[in-house]
Amino acid sequence: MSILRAIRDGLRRLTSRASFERDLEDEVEHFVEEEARGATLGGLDPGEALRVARARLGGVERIKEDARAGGWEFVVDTFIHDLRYALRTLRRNVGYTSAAIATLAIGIGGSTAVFTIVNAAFLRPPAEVRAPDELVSIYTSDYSGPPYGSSSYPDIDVFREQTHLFSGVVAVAPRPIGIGEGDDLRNEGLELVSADYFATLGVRLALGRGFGPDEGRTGVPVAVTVISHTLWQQDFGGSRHVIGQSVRLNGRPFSIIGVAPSGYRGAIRGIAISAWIPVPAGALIGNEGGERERGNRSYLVTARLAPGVTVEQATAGLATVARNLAQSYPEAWLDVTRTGRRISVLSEAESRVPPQVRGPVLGFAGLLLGTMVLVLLVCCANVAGLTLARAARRAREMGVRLSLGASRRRVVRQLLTESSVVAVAGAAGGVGLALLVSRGLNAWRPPLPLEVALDLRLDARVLLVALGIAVATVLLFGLAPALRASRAAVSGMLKGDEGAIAVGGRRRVSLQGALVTAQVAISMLLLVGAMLFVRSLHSASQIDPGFAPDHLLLVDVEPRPDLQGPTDEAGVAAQLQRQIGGLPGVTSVSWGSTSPLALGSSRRYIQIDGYRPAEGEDMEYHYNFVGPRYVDALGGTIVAGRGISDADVAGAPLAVVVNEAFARRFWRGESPLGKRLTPSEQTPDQWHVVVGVSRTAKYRSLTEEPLPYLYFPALQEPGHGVVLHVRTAVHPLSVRDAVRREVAAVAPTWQVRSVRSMEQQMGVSLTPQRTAGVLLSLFGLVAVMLAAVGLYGVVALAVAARRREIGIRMALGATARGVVRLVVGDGARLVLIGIALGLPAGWAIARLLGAFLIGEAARSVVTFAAATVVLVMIALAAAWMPARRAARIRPMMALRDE
Amino acid sequence: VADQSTDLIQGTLDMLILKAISLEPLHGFGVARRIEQISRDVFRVNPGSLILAFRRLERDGTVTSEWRATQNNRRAKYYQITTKGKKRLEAERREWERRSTAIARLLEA
Repeated sequence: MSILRAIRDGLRRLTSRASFERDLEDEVEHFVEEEARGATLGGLDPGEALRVARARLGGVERIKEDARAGGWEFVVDTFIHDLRYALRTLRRNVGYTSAAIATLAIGIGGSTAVFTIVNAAFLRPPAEVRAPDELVSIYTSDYSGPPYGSSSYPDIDVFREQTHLFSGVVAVAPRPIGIGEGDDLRNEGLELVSADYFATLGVRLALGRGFGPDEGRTGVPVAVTVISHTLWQQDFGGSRHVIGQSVRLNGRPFSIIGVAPSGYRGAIRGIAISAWIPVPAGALIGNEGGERERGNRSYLVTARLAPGVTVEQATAGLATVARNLAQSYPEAWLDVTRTGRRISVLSEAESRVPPQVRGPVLGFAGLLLGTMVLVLLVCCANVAGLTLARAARRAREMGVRLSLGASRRRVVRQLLTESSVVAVAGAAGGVGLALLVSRGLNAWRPPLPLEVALDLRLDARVLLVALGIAVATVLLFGLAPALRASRAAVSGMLKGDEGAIAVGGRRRVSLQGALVTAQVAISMLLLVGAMLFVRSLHSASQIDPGFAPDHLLLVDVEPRPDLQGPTDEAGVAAQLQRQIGGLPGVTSVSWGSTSPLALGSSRRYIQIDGYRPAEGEDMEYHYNFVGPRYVDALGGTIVAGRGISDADVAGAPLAVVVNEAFARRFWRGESPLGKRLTPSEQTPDQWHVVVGVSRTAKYRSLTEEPLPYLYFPALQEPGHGVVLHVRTAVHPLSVRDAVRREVAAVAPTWQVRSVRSMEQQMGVSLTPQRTAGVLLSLFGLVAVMLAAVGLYGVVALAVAARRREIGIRMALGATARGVVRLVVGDGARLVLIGIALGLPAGWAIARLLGAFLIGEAARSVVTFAAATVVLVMIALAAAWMPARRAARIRPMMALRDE
Repeated sequence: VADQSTDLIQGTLDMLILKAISLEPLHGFGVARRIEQISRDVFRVNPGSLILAFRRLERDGTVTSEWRATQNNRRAKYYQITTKGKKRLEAERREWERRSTAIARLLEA
């Protein structure tokens, strides 16, 4: 009842403001008159009586203000009033408003964009999956020890039997695949999955059904597929009749039985999947899944915990399973330590980032977030500086308000309302900017074998963070100036006394100075970071990869899985070597099962004649199956013996070429030639004899330590794939089409899956450094520019406050040059302090970034010197402009102003 | 201006206002004067606090107001106590007496 009444009265007061004000006015006036009447009776003349009465009442406006402050409507009303006033004053001051909003939009937009990425990569629970908190990932440890390896299909069946632990267990193996045919052939992502995949994950299909038990039966491939929403839209126009139609996967027609919901892009975060097929159907597209082999661990495992089961219970239960498996299948379950492998369980949230790369990925994300927070701080400092300068210009207004009886709280609230308007506009601009950035990122396709896809939509969490950032910025840039303005000395401000401003302002200028110093320090930090990455990229280009990356074309060729034809890999590769070698512009050709600096590489167990591995020693080494004259085509060097040659064919003595790092590891001080080794699968009478030693090159990344490496003859062990290495005299990409034609002519049933130059491939391997470099340079540039604007602002303000002082100096004979030096000197001091603070911070950053940096960049004094010089130059330019204006002050004008 | 009324506890001012208008409707200044006269100038009422208190009492529904002409023909806002106001005055008076008796006893003891 009374609440209703309060609302009604409040609304009435809000809507009929004028009459409320008139009533209040009348009532107060009545008081005054009655007081005065009393006083006239006491003998005072009426005018004097009225004055005394007013004085006794103690401020008519104050009384009204008290009376107004009664109800909730007052708060709303003040807010509306403040808002209107804020909009009006902000509109009048376009310079400040647009600068502040733009700066905030950059800060908020940038941090929102970064948070969008972090959110999509780590924080957002998987979309379209039922109860994701019940999901866990299961890992079998690798042979050489690392705990988070993939698992084998028969083992996954054993996990599935643990019904007291799991209500469902699914196997997933992502594979690159060609979708479509002819010119429309595209490389996209596919998941080989166990039949219970959609049911266990609880993904509700947009159309059709998931896989049934019949489609998951081992050894019985059924050509059915569930396609992604995107593929459905792109290739089938979103037609509801898509069910039952067929889509070509690696050339083989698959019948479409279902369409995934639009938000669902597969079980592995960051990899966009276009189609799902049952594991046994992998045989149809050239992906033998090895479902019967316990030693073939190529499946990632996701399981749904049974009701009430915790991750710890599941881990404990699977430890028993692991012991039993190691007893029953010692061959597949014993590892290098000769003890059983271990099984690990991670919750869905913990396994969003693949645990093997957790450190670097989180480090990179931290770097990104940290950088962004710094930029945001610079933005806030900058806007705070602008706001302080503006508050100084409004000192008189504040003085009037305070002396007319506005409470300090009221003034602070008014100023904060203005800041909020600016922040809200900045936040809106920022969210718009973030949308643009994330749209740009979504369109960006890094040259990787599988499409990288993060769901970069803005969700409630992102918007909430953007809002939080906006509120924080209001407090950061709005509160300090507001408090300061409201505290100012009334009398000095009213007189417009420059001296009073300078006294109150001495502190204000120094607060602004502190802000600029902080900005310079942060800019220094970012600049150092950016330069480190640029230098690091430069050093990367200086690293000798141990082969000649220029004039080298890499061509992946493979038999088309849909066509029957010769799959005599060795024969086709040898013939391609001859034919392509005869092309004009081509100087030499060979092939390997892989190429250096490609993503992913394999290791195999190596047993060495006469060497007994230490307890727990990792004896798996990286290798490549290569054709004759491979090292020549790669542009590497054979330092002893010979390379793999035409002599190393099936039937000839088994050969191997080791690199210097391998030779040094096992035969230090001896000649490796003639030594013997064998991969584990082979019986010890099949020794490979070391026929040559190659110079150690870079195989997996440019920054790796010297890596022991082995070349086995592909002609003696074919079947591991063919990557042609074509060395050219001309630009490598210019022979691309000729190579394609040769492949089509030599092996009509084969296809070219991918063509790239080695330089392109090396570019991909530097993607993390390049991305970080670009981002930091961008952020650094923004920060430096903001710092320059901030410095300009603070120097300009100082000049305004010291106008009279400068006038007197000039009247007393100071030269224009002297004035410039005075003003620039003040600015320079701030910058130097900022740099002094920024240097050690930059040093710390350089150490933190060490993991990402290549070469000696991290310890380089040159980097720090360069950053310092750049900052000083920019700062001097920013301070010089207002200084020149100061030098033009006419002494008479400045003094007469008073 | 020595304004001792600021020493009043908030509820007390409300009670004094209600008491002042319990016999006949009064305008704001009249209420102030009546409180001052009857208390023999012990309590001086700040007009701001008084107007604020009227707003509060109106909102609670313990007083109503209307504009009327004063004896010397000027427009003034007259406040009148409602039934609810009378009940509240009675309740507050009892509570006040209970307390002041208790305090008096304590001081005499």
